[in-house]
Amino acid sequence: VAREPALQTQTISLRREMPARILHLARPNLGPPLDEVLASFQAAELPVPGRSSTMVARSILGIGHGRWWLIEDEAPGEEPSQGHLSRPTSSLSFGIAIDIGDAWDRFRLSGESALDLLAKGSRLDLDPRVFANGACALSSFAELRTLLHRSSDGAHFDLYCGRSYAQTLEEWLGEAAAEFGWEAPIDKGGAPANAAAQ
Amino acid sequence: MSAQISVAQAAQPFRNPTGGIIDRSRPIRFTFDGKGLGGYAGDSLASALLANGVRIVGRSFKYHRPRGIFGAGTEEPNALVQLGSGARTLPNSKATEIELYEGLSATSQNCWPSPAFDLGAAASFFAPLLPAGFYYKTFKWPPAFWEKLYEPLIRRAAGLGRAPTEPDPDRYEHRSGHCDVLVVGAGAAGLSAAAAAAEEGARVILIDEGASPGGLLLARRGKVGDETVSDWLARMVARLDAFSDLRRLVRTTAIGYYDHNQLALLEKVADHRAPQPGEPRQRLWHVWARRVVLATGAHERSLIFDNNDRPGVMLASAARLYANRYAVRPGSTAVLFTNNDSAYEAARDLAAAGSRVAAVIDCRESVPAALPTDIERLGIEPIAGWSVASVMGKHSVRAVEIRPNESKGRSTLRREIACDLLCVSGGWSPALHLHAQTGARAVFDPSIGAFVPGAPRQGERLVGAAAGNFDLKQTLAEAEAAGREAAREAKHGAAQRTVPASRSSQAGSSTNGALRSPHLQGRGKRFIDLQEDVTDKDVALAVREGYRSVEHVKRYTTLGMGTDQGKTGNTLGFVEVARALGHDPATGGTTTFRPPYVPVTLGALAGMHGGRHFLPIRRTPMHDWHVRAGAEMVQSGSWLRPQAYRRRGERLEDAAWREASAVRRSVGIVDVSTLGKLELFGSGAAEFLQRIYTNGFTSLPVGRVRYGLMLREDGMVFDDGTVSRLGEHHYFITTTTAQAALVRQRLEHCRQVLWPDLDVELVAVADQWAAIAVAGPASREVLERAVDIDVKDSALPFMACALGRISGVSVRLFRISFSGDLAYEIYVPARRGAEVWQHLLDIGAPQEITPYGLDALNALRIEKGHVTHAEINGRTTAEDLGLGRMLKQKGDFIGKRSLHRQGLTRKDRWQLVGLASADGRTPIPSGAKLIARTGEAMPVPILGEVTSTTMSPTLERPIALALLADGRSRIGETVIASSPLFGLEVPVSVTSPVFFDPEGKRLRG
Repeated sequence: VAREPALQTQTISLRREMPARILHLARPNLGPPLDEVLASFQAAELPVPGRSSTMVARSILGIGHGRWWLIEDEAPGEEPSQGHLSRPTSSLSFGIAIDIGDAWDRFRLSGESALDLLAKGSRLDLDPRVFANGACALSSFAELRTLLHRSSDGAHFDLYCGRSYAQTLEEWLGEAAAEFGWEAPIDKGGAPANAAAQ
Repeated sequence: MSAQISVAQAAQPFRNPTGGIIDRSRPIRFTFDGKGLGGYAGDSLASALLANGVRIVGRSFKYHRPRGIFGAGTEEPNALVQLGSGARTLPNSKATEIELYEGLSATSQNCWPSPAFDLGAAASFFAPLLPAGFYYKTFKWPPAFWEKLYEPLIRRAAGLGRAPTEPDPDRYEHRSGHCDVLVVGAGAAGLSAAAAAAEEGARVILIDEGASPGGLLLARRGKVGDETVSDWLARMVARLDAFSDLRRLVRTTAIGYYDHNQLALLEKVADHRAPQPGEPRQRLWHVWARRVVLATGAHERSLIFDNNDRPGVMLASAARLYANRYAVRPGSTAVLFTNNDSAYEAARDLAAAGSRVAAVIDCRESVPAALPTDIERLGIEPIAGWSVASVMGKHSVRAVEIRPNESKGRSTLRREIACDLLCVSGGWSPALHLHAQTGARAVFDPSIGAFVPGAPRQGERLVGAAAGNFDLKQTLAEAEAAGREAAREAKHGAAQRTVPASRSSQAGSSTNGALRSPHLQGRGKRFIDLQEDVTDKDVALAVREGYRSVEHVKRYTTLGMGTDQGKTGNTLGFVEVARALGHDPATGGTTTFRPPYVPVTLGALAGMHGGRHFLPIRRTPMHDWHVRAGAEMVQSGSWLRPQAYRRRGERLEDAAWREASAVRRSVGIVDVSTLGKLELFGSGAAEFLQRIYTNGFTSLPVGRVRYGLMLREDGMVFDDGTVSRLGEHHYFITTTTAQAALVRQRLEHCRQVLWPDLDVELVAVADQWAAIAVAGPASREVLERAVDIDVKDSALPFMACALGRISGVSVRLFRISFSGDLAYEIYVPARRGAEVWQHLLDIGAPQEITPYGLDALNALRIEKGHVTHAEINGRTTAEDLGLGRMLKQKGDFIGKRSLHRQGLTRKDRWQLVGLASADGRTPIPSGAKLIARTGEAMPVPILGEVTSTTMSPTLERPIALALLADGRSRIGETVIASSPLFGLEVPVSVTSPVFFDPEGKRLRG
């Protein structure tokens, strides 16, 4: 059977990276301590569930009712706190917060075929009128528990998956993206590709 | 090129020199049964076979009768072929659905050595012995023959085609889609509905099973309004393609219609060509639509008369399609037999295509006057009030015998009309399969002799022939209105109307409802379901034998159970059942319509979930180190874990023995990152834990760890693990690897649904932490050098926890033990896990710290009598496992209420015990049943079973854990571990389950 000419152009871009820190925030206490945290993220308020607030190398994602992810792409210069043994949680005066940055890997997808690629693994309606710029959702992707975030400018999608599944997802994405001209191994960057550009 | 074309034309004696919607500039070569043939791009395999004069394409399923091409699409019951070869071969492919491509290779099925001369046809001699359900009544005696003779023979005879034996080399994938309006079918109705919906601003998906839109229009020569069919189609496609929010999917069939307006679509991406790199061969879509418009058309029915299956008997609509779309004459001389108007159009088109049309036999006594007049002008004899009694000819139609209806077989008045093509039209059955899959009823409409859609159950509407409307003008108007309404409802949420569209005057479809010739002479077989070889006699037999429901008749006769699902024959069957029972077809109804609408490859159903993507694989942070160290990696649940680190020339069991012995002797290190991990916060956390676990947690001080046990609601043990109090309102929970996800789900359910009043926040952190256990008498020595805090027993006693730093990395340190030895678990942020692991190895080198895998881990915990999910198997209680002391008396917890059920307090419940090989040498077979003694008569009373087994590194003899009836009172007895699977019976002594350090001195040391 004659083979038709291969796709000449690559219409997808994939990159795997780990954000420097993801702070899981729950039940925030309103007041100056929280305001201080928000100020460090240049955000006036916490976004509603399913929405995000993004600034240079930092994002706040409303991942559910009363739950947020505070994501920092650049290393904060100190090792994240790893627990609060013998320290009352109330000392976290702005709410319950815990670093889960080591638990999640992130795949950044961009290019004109990004939506087509995502539709292979996600059941979400990703039409921009439904899943608008800045939208985020905890949902399964390729049978994995993931969080999908559409950037505020719509230029890319960030797909977060559990670190232990990241290699599996990388292989899955690479294979699914081959249709869109993707051939190279997925880049594994330390810092996000466009953190500086932002 | 011209030479090629002339060759192709010359080899296609039934192809007209002009006409059709085929690309004559692209000749295609293919083979059928090894014979080289020619066709054109745009042909189906069926049309190309007909063009080449191939009339017999296979043999029937049961009687091996010669069969030809009967239909032209998904309804085809006969022309099933084996497509391709090797790993890519696909059995039961309908020739009518296969797009012709260069190099296509197909073979006929169910015949040997050829479809024209098939030795299997001998089966027809035994036909009287093979009525419906014969296998229920015969082959019973002698019993010994059933397994060795009857079953193998029946299995060999059953089925069509051959499944490939090699792995499928093609890719498949799934994809989701969302839209406001999904239009199924791109015929006249579907195109109009889609265009109207798109004009309303809706997101539209329009699908069609064909390579090009048009549906039944492609079989017509007439006009749509003032335009030719091709001009109208071209204009509509251009109109549709102008909408950026409209997606057209070709070669795509809706195979299932499920709740919430979700439909499954099968897209044949590259069945007709080689896939491009990375492209799947087929794609299974899951589409969620706010509204659905079903423009799925209708299937023409057959008619019942003697030998109505002979090659050359064909649906009138199919013959018309072959003539108009493919410029193929399906026969030289045609006769049409009909009970409705539509066959007259087919007669005109066949005549125009160059076939001689001898007559149109219309079984109706009264026919609209214009119809016979019209065809008489073309030299076609109209014969009303007569019916075909029989087809003459065995391998092809030679002539038809017709008789006047009123004679009812008694008259000698008969005629024979010579022909090689008999086109039949028993009226039209709306393709309401998808509609019915939603649970909507089908309603019998006597005016068209068919079941039509009843009230919809979901946001769907049917248009055109699918709704029972056969008038084109009215269909176009109704479809456009339906498209607009669907779009408005989707966008504005208006209520879905709950009544089906009204049906038109049925122009072109009026029928007297007669589906069987009145002249059934019993000389030939009269088939209702061609693919399953079900005859009218089979249906009558089923009814005589007491089957009343069409569902039961279906299963007894196999009516409609073939790959075509009875698209041309089911209605005939339902009407025959009703006739035999003497009631109206409406009373009996239809059988249940179930997905899939057409056969689906297993590859499409699996999508990418095959091969290395069959199951998502998890890797720990130290995975790469394990691989580099030469570990034998094994899949444990979804995790890849080291089974053992085998040295050169070392057997796996020897490696595990060496590793476990090293732990007992000095110190070992093991990756336990796979444990489930949860962080629990809030002032209600302690109370939450009280309710979750069987034992108490309110008294647990900060900095201490407690072992916890969870029950299911029915009182059986659900999971175990540790809870560490890290702060006043902060706990760290670990679960078993196996139940991690389920425990998380349960705790979230409890938090969100059962006890939302409790101030509790739960965060799953399984992947946040790499977990490393350092175990053995020298473990403290290693830790003292590795960590920056005091780990002496006085500072960090057994079941205590603390924060520390190892190699500059903050870690959580827990003094807990699964091995039963002095041990520590160290939790490290995942990205630093490998670094800390290596540091511990380096710093433990003087103590010869030894990495150990799952097998050694298992051996150590069996020695200590620690249970895993081999023992927590869903049927054991805390008392069974010797953990009854963990059931608190005060306060409630999940499962507590069930503990006093009679069945859970019986004395003879299976209890956890240890087993030791009586001779000290013979391994105890895993999974063996425990019996009292050897040589007992069947059925042997089962006393229990072996759950975990190992060679003890401490005792240096085979030991096991087991569940044994009233086991704790049997300690000291000898029983038999019997494994019929391996033919082993091993005498074993019943012991305490704790073989190692029963006083706990080592782990507290």
